[in-house]
Formats: sequence, C-alpha cells, structure tokens
Amino acid sequence: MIMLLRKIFFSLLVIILLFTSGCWNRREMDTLTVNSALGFDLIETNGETKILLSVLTIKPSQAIGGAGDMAGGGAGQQQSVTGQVISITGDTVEDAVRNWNQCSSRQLFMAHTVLFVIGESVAKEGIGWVIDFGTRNRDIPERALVVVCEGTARDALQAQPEFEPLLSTEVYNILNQNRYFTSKSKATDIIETMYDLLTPGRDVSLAFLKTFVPPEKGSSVRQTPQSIDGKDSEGEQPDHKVPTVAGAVVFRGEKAVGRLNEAETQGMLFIMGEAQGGIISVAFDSTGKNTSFLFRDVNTKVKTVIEKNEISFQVEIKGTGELISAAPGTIDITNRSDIQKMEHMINKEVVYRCRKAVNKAQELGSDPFGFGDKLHRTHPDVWKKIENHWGEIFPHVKVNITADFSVEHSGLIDKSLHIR
Amino acid sequence: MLDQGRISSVQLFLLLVIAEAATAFLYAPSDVIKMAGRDSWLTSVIPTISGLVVAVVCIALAKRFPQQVFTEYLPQILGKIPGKILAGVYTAVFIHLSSVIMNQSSAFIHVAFLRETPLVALEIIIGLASIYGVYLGIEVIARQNELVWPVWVLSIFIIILLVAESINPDNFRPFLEKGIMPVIKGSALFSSFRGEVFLLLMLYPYLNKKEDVYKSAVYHLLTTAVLLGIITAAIIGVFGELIPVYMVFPIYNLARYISLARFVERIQILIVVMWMFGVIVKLAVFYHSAAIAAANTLGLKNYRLTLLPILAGTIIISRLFYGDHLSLTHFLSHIFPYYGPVVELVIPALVLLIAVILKKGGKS
Repeated sequence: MIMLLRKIFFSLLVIILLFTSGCWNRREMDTLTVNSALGFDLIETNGETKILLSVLTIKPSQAIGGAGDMAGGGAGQQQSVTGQVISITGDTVEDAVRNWNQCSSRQLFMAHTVLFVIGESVAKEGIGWVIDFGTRNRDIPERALVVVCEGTARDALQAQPEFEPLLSTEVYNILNQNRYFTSKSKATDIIETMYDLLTPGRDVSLAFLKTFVPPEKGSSVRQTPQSIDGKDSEGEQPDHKVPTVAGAVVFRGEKAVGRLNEAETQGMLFIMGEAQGGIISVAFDSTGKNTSFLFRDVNTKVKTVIEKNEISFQVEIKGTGELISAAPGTIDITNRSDIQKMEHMINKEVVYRCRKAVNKAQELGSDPFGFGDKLHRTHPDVWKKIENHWGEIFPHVKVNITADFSVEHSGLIDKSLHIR
Repeated sequence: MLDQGRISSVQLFLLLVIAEAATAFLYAPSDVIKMAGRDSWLTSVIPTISGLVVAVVCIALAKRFPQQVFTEYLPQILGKIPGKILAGVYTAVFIHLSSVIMNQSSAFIHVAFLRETPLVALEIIIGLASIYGVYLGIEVIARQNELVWPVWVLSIFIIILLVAESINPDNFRPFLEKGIMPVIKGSALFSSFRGEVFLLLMLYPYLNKKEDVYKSAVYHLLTTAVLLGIITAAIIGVFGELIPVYMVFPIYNLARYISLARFVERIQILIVVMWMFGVIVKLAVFYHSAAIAAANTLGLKNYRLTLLPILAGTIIISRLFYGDHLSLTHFLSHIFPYYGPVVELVIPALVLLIAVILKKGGKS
C-alpha cells in the first residue's frame, strides 16, 4: 500500500516538475520594451489635468553594415543602442503605464530605470505621487536617481546625449561622479528623496537638469542615428539639445520652491558633508580669480548650540587638498606664509558659498541641510516644543560656518611661474 | 510516539532558529518599527525573557513524559475526553499556524515576484515540498535544515555587510525619545514570535540527549534575538524609522538597495532563496507537529495519512481567511500577540500545573 502510494506520489512530483520548469508569468525579451528613464509631467487636456508619462525606451539598433566596415570608421562607430522617447497620458501614473499597452504591443519593463525626470509642472504641484510610484512598483530600482528638469520632462528626455548611448545613463553617470569631481549638483535616489520627504526638519533637494543647444557644430562624438532609408535625420531636427546638470532645486514639503545655483549647491553639499571633490578658485594677489584649489576628504560637523531659547548651528568644515592651478607670478608654495594666505582665502570662499546657500535656503523657507533633523536628534526636548513651527523658525536661525582647509600638495611643480 | 526519528541537540537548536526566524525576518520588522520606532532593535532583547519562560514551562512539562509528545500525554493528564479535546484544539492551532505561514510564504512571492502566478499554485508547490519532508520524518527535516541554515545565515550577513556603508548612525538618535513603553509594546509583538519555542512540546521526545534541551533552547533564543536585532538595526540604520513603516518587506527593500561600487547590485534574489529554504523547513516543522497531533487525536497508527488533508486544509484556510494583505497583517499585529501567548504559554502552564498537582508523569 505504502509502496504504491509512494509510487503515485513520485509520479505526481515528476509530472508537476514538467509544468513548473519555468516562470508562470515569464516575460521574454521579445515581448518587452525596456525603459531607461521616466519623465513626469502634468498636462491639461479638455479641461482635465492628466499625467503625461514620458518613457525613454532602449531601442536595440538595426544590424549595422558588416564587420568589415570597422576599419572605415563611419558606420563602425555607430552606437549599439539608441533611445526613443514615447509619451502616454493617464489619470494616474499607473493608468498611464497601462495605457502604454494601448499603443504598444510590448509590455513596459521598468527594472532598468535609472532616472526619474520630474517636469516643472509636477515639481510645483508636488512630487509625492512620483515617489509613491517609484517605491511601490516592484520593478523600479530604489537606486534610480530623481532630477527636476527645466520645462517639461518630455522635452528634457529628448535631449541628445553626447558620450553615452542613452540620456539616462549619461545623466546618471554625471550625477554619480559629481560628488568626486565638482560637487556642484546633488545625486538623490528615490529612497533618499522619500527619507527627506518623511523626516521632520528636512526638505528635499534634487539635481536640476537643464538642456541647451551647444555652440559647437558637428561634435565628433555626437551622432544622430541614420534613418533606415539613408536619409540624414540631422536636417529634420535643427536643434540638438544636450543635457547638463546645473545646481539643485529645493523643495518645501513636496513642492519645489526655488533653485540653488552651482556655487550655492556646493555650499549646501559642504554643509551636508557630501562634497568630496571639486575646485575652489580664489583671487590670489589679483583682482580676478586666478588660483585654484582642489579639495578632497571633506569632513563636516554640524553642532546645535542652544543659548537662552536661541537656536543656532555651528558648522565646522575641515578638508585637505592641493593647489591645482596658479597664475604666473602669484603664489609660492614653498613659502609657508603664502600657503597660509591661500588657505585663508580658500576658507573664506568656502564659508562664502555655504553662507550663500544658507541665505538662499532661508529666503525660500526650505531646509535641505536637515538642520531641523539635526536639532531633533541632538536636542529632542527642544525639538518637541518647536516641531510644528520649524518652517517659521528656520528662516531666522543663526548658522555659523567655519572652514579649515589645508593645502598639502601642489602638483608636479611647486611655485607659480615667473615670466620674465 | 509515532515518529521514530532521533535528532541531536544541535539539530534541535538549528531547527528552532529557522522555525522562528524564517518568517519573522521578513514580516516582523515592519510591524515592530511601526510600534517602537527607531528603538526597535531593542525589541529583540525583551522577548528573549518571555521566550525563556515559555521554554522552561514546555521543557518541564515535556520532561514528565520524555517518550511522548504533548498531544499524546494530554489525555493522561486531563482525562480521556478533555485531553482529546485539547489535543484536537492543538491540532487546529498547528494547522492554523501552518496556514498563516503558508499564506506569508506565498504572499511575499506573489507581491514581490510572480504577480500573475495563482497563489494556490505557489502554495501547492511549497506545501508539497514541505509535506514530503514530513512524510520522511523529523530526522530528514532536521538534516535538510542543516543544509539550509548556513545558506540562510550567510545570506543575512552578506546582505547586511553589503549595505553597511549606507548605515547612518544618526538614524538611531535620539535614543528612547518616547520612553520605554513603545519598545515594550513592540516587544509584545516579537514575544509571540519568540514563543514559537513551544514547538519543544512536540519535538522534545525526538531529542537523543534529553539533558541538552536547555542548551538548545537558550542558544536558540540568544541566536534569534541577535539575528533579528541586527536585521532590525540594519533596516533602521539605512532607511531611518519612518520609511520602513510604509514598507511591507523592509529587508527585501534593503537587499534591493544594495549597490556596491555600482557592481554588486540586484542581489535581492538572495532573499527569495532564504525565504524558500526557510519557509519550507518552517512549514515542515509545523506540518509535522500538526500531523502528529492529528494522528494522536484521531488515534491513528500512522501520522502520514493525515498529511494530504492537512495540506488541503491549510491551503483552504490560507486562501479563505488570509486572502488579502490586510487580514494577514491584522492577524500578525493585532491577533497573534494575544493568541500566541495563550497557546504557547498559558495552556501549557495550566497543563503543567494540573500535572504537578495530580502527580502525573515522571519527575521533572
């Protein structure tokens, strides 16, 4: 009996194995469109406000000539993938995602999304639903970066990337490297945005994506894909906009209230301790800025000082770096007093940038630095009393900034040139 | 004793660890953080004490009847009819808990991965794998678990190590902002999970060296406390205490958030591996207890006959009563904290008391 049961059971298992050898809801490559960036806009149609979702899809290119063309340049350099922007509308964002299936035979596959581009209209109305969409959807990676763009996201996504096949990868790489190269714009992913949205005493700041028409004609790296019939599509699109990131957009709650320019963004990143490399130019023995300093290893400490019901913050920025360029006849790095003079100037410049960032933020009534959060974490009792008025208190809070940078190296030559 | 298998104290310890942590690591943090906020990592400490109480009661009871399982000696303590009724109640409890585990296991796969696969299909597959283990006996489950736990523990540590760079110590301050009460409330939730050490009632007779049972129980409680404490702390460290409140499976999001040098990414599949491995063992342990309890209640000589009906029953209960996310989380965070201690502690303690008064069973 048992043996028979066992045999039946095993044959059942074997049969089950036949039917379970794959995924039930498999999604094959040839039924999918892979997208790399999503753009969010609000539009008015027939008096109704609808969501315009712009999808930057990855299109595998058509077969390119032959392998033999490689030596000839030209066709051989053609990019292997290109992007195409397709936009759809819907009442909600998921409605738009599903409406996609009305105009496309392929399902949208969002697991390769690296960039969320938020149009001006959405940024002004509130970005909450974008973050909800980004975190609720099981396909979208949490590490996707969120940026706000100038104008509509649909236009911004159509900008032509110069170095990468896709705009999304280009912006993603620019933002991720930015912290170590220039520290002039902020890379914020979905989770960080959500964190800033939810945490009391903290406001969201996102990178600002701008597009512009480059003055250079026929840049060798910028290519437009040739259309199938060999017609050059360059003529049809007169302005090739290229993407760039410029500063940051700060929010109050879920609504954008203003922009910080590059220098202010750098100041903000200094205060947040996220600036890890960049250039500070100072005017050394001259009226114009002529000497540059490359900072690294920046360490920021924010202290909360409470004196007689007066809240103030003490920001101490410490860092090292090297002299990276100098105008002839100015600095002599072998001379200690010159170094000290230079360090003093750098400190002054850093404090100036931070001060500008703080002033701008206070003017806008937005606290992207998380000063309120810092107060909450260090003085919970004080925070409890002012929690609900932080928006009114923050614009009048005193912030003292000190910077202490040291010049440690000077590249391969030491003093600046003496031109005879 | 219907299952003639023998397990060592180490196997018992590992079995208990997986039987608790396998589902707690995915479902508990979100609920606990809702209650205890950023001090939630503390909530894994206090339940250890309640778990210890449960363990002491269960071991004391089990030692009186070293060769029998709980449902087998109940009629000897309480008399034939009440004993059978209580054994029947425990059969129902085990079946019910199995169906909750079943529901948790399929719900996660459904929500996070295979949205279009019918849940019943997932449940049948998971259930068949588990009852096959039960069919072969406790020894096989214990040995399978020996293969499972290194994968399980390693995966947890890999995930936490990889995400360690994103941990922000500021997220743990201010410490105990709202006092100790939220932590105690959160601990109550964890306590019912930790009380699953009451499985000792059903597993004790299989232990080959009975004197090591305390060691197994204590090591189990400490290991689980440390594991779940670390997991909760990592979640709070990375996401803060506000984001996980919104997340259904915070540890899964944590694994998704891993990005080491933009190279080691998308390792969330580790969670699925852990999940399936752990859940199959956990389900097997509960099914085993349910099957033995059912066979005892019905007076069957072979517990294996009850397996398919139990499987069908758990799937039906899981689909009928926990069909949506709300009813499952409602059970876990509002009913289980009361229901758990009753079946884990109160009833065994009363039975122990009666046994002591009536001088039933051997000395303990």
